[in-house]
This record gives sequence, C-alpha cells and structure tokens, in this order.
Amino acid sequence: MKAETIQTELTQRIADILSVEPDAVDAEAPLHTLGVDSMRMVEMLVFIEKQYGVDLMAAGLKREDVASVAALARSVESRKTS
Amino acid sequence: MNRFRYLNGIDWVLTGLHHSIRQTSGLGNWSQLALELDGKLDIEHFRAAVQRYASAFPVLQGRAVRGWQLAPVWKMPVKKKQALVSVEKQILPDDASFEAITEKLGQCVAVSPGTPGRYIGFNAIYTAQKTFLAFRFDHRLFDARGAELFIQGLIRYLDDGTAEPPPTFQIPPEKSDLRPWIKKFKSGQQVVRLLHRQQEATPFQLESRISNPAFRFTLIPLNEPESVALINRAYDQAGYLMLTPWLAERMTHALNTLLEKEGRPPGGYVIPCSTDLRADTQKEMFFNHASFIYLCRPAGEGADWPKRFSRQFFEQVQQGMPCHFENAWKLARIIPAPLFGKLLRGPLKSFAGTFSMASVGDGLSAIESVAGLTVRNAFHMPMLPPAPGLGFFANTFGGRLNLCLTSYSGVLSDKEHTELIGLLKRELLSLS
Repeated sequence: MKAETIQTELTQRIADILSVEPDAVDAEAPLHTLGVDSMRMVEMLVFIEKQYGVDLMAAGLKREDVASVAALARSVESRKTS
Repeated sequence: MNRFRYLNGIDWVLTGLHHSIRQTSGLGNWSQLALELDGKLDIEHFRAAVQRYASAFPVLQGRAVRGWQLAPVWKMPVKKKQALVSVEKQILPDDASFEAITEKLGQCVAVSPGTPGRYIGFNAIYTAQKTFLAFRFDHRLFDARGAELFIQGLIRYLDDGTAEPPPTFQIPPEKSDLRPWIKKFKSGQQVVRLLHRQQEATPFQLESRISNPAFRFTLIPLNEPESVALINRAYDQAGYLMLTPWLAERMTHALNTLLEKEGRPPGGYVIPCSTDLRADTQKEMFFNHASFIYLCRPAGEGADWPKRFSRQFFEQVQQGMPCHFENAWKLARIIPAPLFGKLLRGPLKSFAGTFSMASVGDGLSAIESVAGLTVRNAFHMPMLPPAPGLGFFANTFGGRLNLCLTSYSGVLSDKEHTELIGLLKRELLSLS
C-alpha cells in the first residue's frame, strides 16, 4: 500500500475523530494545531494498529515520525514494507 | 418538544456522586470555568443576557425522575418558564493577590445545591482593571466540554447584541438502552477485571477524616515559555501529544516524594482519568459524554513510567475500555441515587483510585473575548467526590498551560498541600 493511499485513509479517519470535513485537514500541519489531544492521538494509533498492523506506540513515538498526517502515513508505509 | 431524556450510565454515576458529596460535605457536584477578562464587565447587561439565553433551555428547569421502564429520565417542564440564573458580583481590593482571587473563585463553586432547578450560576469578581468571570455548573447536566460549549453559545449571543431570546433548544432524544443487558454485563466483567488487576498494585487512598470537609483549589498558571518547555519535555519523555499520561506520572512522582519524606510507606497509584467520548459537539452540549481510562503504577516499580502510562492509555483504548465503562455503568441505573451515593463512598470506593485526573483539553481557547473584553486566561476548576478527595487537572489556553490541584481539607494538611505544590512545580518545571 502506498503512502498516498494511507494518507487519504488517515485524513478521513482524523476528520471523523475531529468532526470536520477531510478537506479541512492539512496533511502537513502538526497534529496539535489541528486540535488532536492525547485521547484523539491514541485513537489514531489504535486505528493504525488495527488497519495496517503497525504498532507505532511500541515502535517509539518520535515526534518527527508522527507529527502530521503525512508523517504518520510515511511511518506506516516504511514499517509495513520493512 | 422532547419532555423526557433518558439518562445514560455516566449521568447516573454523576447523580450518585452528587448525592455522595451532599452526604459528606453538604455541597453539590459542581464544577467551574473561570475566565480572566481584561477590563470591567457590565454586570447588568450580562445578567439580562444570561436570563434571556438560559430561557431557551428547558433542560435547565428539569429534574431526574424514574421512567415507566424504571430507567432514570430527565423530565423537563411542559410550558416554557422564565429562567432564574444566579449572577452575582463580588469586589476584591485592587491589590488582591492571585491566591486571594483563587480562594474567592473556590468559594463561588463550593456552594450547597440550593434551590431545586438551579443548575448553573455566574460570579463576576472585580479586581483592579480585571474581571474574573466564573461559570458554575452542576455535573448532572454538563460535563466539562459541554459547559465550554454552553458558555461559547452564551458569548456568541452576547456578541449578537439582540434583545430577543434565542430559539428553544431541543435536547436530542436518547434511547433507554436497557437491552441487550448481556452486552452490558460482559462490559461489566471487563471493567471488574481491569479494576481487580489494578487493586493488585495496592494503591493507597488519601481520605479526609473530617466530618464536614471544606474544599480547596490551587491554580498554577504557567507562562508561555514555561508551557512550551514543559510540553516539549512531555512529548520527549511520554511520546508526541502524550501530555496527559506525562502529567499523571509527574504527579505520582511528586506524591511519592512527599510520602517518602514523611516516612509513610509509598503504595501504588491508580488514577482514573476522564476522557471525552462525544462525537457531535453541536448536539451533545448537555449531559455527560465522558468515560474513563485507569492508569496504574504498582508500588516500588521504577523506570520509564511516562512511556508506560502512554502505553496503558493505548492498550485501554485498544481494548475498548472507555466504551466498556460506558456500557457497564448503564446497569447501575437501577440503583436509587441516594443509595448509589453511599455505595460510591463505601463498597465502590476502589473505583475512585488515588487521585482524579481528566484528559488535558484546549476547548476554552476558542473564547477570545466576552462582551468586547479580551480573555487573558481561562481555567477549569472541578470539584471532586470525597473519594479520592484529591485531583490534579490541566487545560491549555492560547498555548499556555494551567494546572489545578484540588483537595478536601483533611486529605492533606496545609503543610503537605504547600509541599506538594512545591514538589509538583519542581517536577513539572524541572527545577533543581
């Protein structure tokens, strides 16, 4: 699965979590500026674990790896292919 | 118009806690939002607007009764009534310290339930060229996020400047959700198993032995550089956006240091952390849409707790624990509220843990001004049930972090309270 496809799915998911339209989610923006808090972040990580089988929490949450939707998508893709 | 609204399980827990607090201290289960405004608020204009605005919410005139299926419902009046909301003015000297203002704010929220039907109230505290506007709300009707939405709506109404009351607000219907009971029973099993595992950590509970304890708030507003440094440290140690688990871990560390200093055997820690489950903020202003994550730190285990608390957060969401709590509490609705209050102080006390927390929110940042006065800062000040009697809360406002330590008198002595605040500041701000 390509990073673009993952990014589209993650954008949709985060839009659902934040009750906004997917167009309102800037994929490059830091997640905290979108209104994501601890609970919403954990919901995203649980979604990623269920959907793609990647446990980013166990992999070590480095800020640069998970700080935006685009970064999350890249992290998921690299861990799925490695 | 919907005249009845079924109460969910968390609503009933809050109703039980209302009775529990009344039985212990004679106070209601209140919480408060406080806004620090730059300038003097026109109290007469504000009072008139509040009465008109509140009249659009028949839910504020309601009360809890049993429905025909025995599930509790919130019953609202048939005819629209004029709302009577208390809006009081208090004046402090111009040189009043922040501690004196906090004490006054604490007196505004720690009040007896008062006249039936009054579930909200406002206090405007004037000092120098500032107004502290406090919005007190009954937890049976609002959770913290709901109260933020209510006051945001009120401020929009004030800004519109209309003399007409807003249209009557319809409460969305809620199903009784009595069946399938087996699903709730299975959720209950999950909850009991989690709590049983956590009891193995031998958590200690601080408890007030005073018969009529008073309530105490300490607000610790951090400036922007302090907040940024703290949040970055939290993200480094607990993971990106894991501020809530990190704060929980720092509080356990500060408490542990305090107990060790006093030569008291340090126990384990169980921390119920409430978290918002609402999906639609427009419709879900009233009643409770929160659930819980339980963080647990067994006695004597040392390393890497920020990450371990983050992991516990993740695992409990993965296991659906917030939804299991929500489902399981629905079964508790059969218990009469006064009896439920006693159970929460007695056999169910272990649910309370060592101290209470809530997921750190940023909802108040949406409020930039009130009646043309700039909002300089905004705080959450939640009261607590007698068990655990100690709470540690935080919210962010415009990039700044505000901390709030709450406790009943007798849970911590004055000296312990002061010492704990010093230790917390040291833990959080990394002071030597």
